[in-house]
Amino acid sequence: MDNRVKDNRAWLGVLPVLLIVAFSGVIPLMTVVNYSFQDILDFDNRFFVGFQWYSQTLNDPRFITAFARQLLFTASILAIEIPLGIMVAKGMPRQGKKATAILLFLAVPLLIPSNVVGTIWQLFARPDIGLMGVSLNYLGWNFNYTASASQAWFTLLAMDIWHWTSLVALLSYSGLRSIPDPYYQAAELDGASHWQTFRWVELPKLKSVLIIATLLRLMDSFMIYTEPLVLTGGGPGSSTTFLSQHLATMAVGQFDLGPAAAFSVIYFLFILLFCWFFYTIVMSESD
Amino acid sequence: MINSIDNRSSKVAQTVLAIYCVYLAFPLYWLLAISVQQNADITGAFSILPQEPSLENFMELWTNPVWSRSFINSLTYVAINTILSISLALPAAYAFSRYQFLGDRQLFFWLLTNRMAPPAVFLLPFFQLYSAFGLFDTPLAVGLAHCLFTIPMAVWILEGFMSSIPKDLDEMAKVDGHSFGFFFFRIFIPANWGGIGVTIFFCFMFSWVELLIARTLTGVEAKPIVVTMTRTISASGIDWGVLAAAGVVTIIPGLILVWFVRKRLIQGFALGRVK
Amino acid sequence: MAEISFQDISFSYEGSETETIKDFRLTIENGKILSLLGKSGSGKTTLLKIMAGLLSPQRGHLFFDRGEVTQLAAKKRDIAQVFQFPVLYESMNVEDNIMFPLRVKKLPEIEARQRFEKVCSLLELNPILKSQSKDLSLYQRQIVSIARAFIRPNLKAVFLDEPLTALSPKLKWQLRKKIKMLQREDGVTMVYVTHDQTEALSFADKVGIIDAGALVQLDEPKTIYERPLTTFVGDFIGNPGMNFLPAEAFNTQSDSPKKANKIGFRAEWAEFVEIGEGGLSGKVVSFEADRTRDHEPHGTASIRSDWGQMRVKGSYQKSVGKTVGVRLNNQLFFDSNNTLINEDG
Repeated sequence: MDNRVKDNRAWLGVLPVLLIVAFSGVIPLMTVVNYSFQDILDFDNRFFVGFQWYSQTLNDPRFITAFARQLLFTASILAIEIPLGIMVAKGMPRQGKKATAILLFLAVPLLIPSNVVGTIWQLFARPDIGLMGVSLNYLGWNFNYTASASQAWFTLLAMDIWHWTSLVALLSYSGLRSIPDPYYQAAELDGASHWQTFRWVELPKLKSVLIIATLLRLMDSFMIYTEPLVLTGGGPGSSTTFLSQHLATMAVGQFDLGPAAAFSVIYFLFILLFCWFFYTIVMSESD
Repeated sequence: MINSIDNRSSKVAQTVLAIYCVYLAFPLYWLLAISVQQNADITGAFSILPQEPSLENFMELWTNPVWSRSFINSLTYVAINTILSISLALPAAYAFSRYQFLGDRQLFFWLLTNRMAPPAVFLLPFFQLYSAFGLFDTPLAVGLAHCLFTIPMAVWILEGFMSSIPKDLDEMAKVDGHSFGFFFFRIFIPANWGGIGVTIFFCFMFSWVELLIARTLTGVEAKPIVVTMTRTISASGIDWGVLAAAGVVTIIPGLILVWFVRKRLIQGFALGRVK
Repeated sequence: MAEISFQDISFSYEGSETETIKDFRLTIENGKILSLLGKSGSGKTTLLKIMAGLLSPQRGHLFFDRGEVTQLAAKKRDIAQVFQFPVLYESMNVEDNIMFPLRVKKLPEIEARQRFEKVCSLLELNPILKSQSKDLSLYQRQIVSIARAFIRPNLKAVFLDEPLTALSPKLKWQLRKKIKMLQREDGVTMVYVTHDQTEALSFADKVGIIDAGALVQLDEPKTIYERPLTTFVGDFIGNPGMNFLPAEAFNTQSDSPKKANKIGFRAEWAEFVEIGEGGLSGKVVSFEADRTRDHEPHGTASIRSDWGQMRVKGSYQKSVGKTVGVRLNNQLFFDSNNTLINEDG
């Protein structure tokens, strides 16, 4: 981004994108911000309430637990999917028909609609008709994810790993492929172990794709809605109710527009904050 | 005898890959197995292999217009979204990768923040906005709304690719006396097929997969297949076989897409950002 | 330090019909510099990889001194290699890069430090020790990878795979000098692969000419130049390559062996004479002067004779297009298999 020509006419190229994002992004966002400061009884009858909804949301124990749950979920899937994705990528052949076949297969879960993913796992995990549910019960584990919070979490994590590890693997694989042979050979001749080769040859080259993978998984897992809704409906109890579902219940279900809007703003700001935090930490380390 | 010494994929990693592939395959197999059975067989005696496989569930999808209509609705808004995203993102990405202009960095970052917005935040305002414009319950509304998330991604991916293409290409075209239009459409875009392929993949990955916005912005007319599926569950009890068959059908467009972009996929997944 | 010997080694790449290396035999003396010289695709880099253990031959045996290493893993062979394009650990600074092999081997800190300082002062690396790899020039990167190769103690051998290809001539010359200095310091056996003959001839104790996966000639640089064993070597080495004319062109000369099929001579082994005086004559097609000696242009002339093209070095003052006589002061005889005929026996 450095040897670029200075020319403000380039704005013309950006303008269409700007307009459409402003239309479908800025207007709704302003509406949300606007609502978040008002008490809306109906659309002709509203009051300015200042930061009331914000303080109410931040002090709401349901928000706090949903938030903590969300953090735990995001941290868990990152901790599993990133290393697993790298391992999967490392196990792939460098080229050939077999490599292409595996790649296509890995890409499949990424393109399945999220409610279908939920459905697939429901069919797979149910203790009465699911292959996994029945097998686990057969093996002596009293498995019913609709009744046990820990089992619901287990199933949810298994599903997210199933759905998204491929993304990390595909990104890592293309990163690994960009490393020229002599880099491996030099490390081999220097006597480097597998771990040292990974640490000093592969990881530095993977860094940029891993940042992308982590950011994508960070944001998307923070917004997760459909899969848990289909699979567990947020239960049992509210043990798998994450932020998006909580928000949707408030906004659409209960029509608490003001609090829902305040919730939205806080939610969005937190995601921005996390991404920014992660990005600055990673970037400052490299210099 | 070993021919070349390969330090890259250790035995451990290969085993992990194999196990992971099996892990991917099992739920898919089960979906397929259920989709060819009748409800009585599914809920009856448990069996790993389908006892009396039939295509009846798929016939149900094929003959019932609700299913085929909603399938076409989905494809329509995904196509609208993908075409809009790519065609708008191309000039923007070119501007970002080749020119410095007032506020470029801030603009780029702001675009990306839109990708970070949870769709749930926008449900209600989207509903009001698109109703106000009379677009509610049309595929266009969903396609446009998805643009908020896919365009930033598309600009960002394409910018990475274009920046990895040396500026010499632009200058050479100038020296050869080509017009900008000729250069952009006949030289520059073909040089970026890898990036465009992977951008299509990512747009599709968002738009085809998304449920929340699609459900909010549609009623009866433009109902997408993902919504039809969820409503089937609540309406007539649960017909597991039809549900699974619908699931199988929704996987097919993804398979076709992957097949078409397979050659670009790997080169593309580096997103132009690996050096 | 070790003597390296190939015994009938054959190798072919996966999926390839032809053997890249065929029944290869060669012994590299302990502590010497050997250059492997050949056109691209001749198999010289493959040979290097076989020695390094990065490729494993299908047949034959490889020995370091008396020990067979054919199937030994690369990291157990105690050898180092410098690649065509410099390979550095991108996330480390220069010092950590150079120290890496010693740290992997867990060499005692004091000994490691000593070697480090010696190598760095020989290569004049001290000003850039704390620089990040990504900030270095191509030349600096290659020096660092050379340092990383030579810093290792008890090396059996160091292999260099066209390490100077990407550099400008002046830097090439500097780096060549430094490599030679390092080699002398420890007296380590060194194999140097190149397609640049000037580099090979000026640098090595011995030169091995490789063609189509086989060793054509192994000799000192001077011998390679003056007594090529085949017409291929004669043509490949030297600028211009050796001239070859059919033996009949010289039937007046009584000392030619009976089975001689071709006669070979270097451009500077011939001189211009009056027509009829030398036994050969031809038309000067072009003349390329490289300097002036005694006010006469001196250079290489291309001459078309009835027997074929030849090039002759010398002083020439007539214009292009004239016919001249050529006399040979020295020549070699080759038989019908293009092999040198040994005049002594």
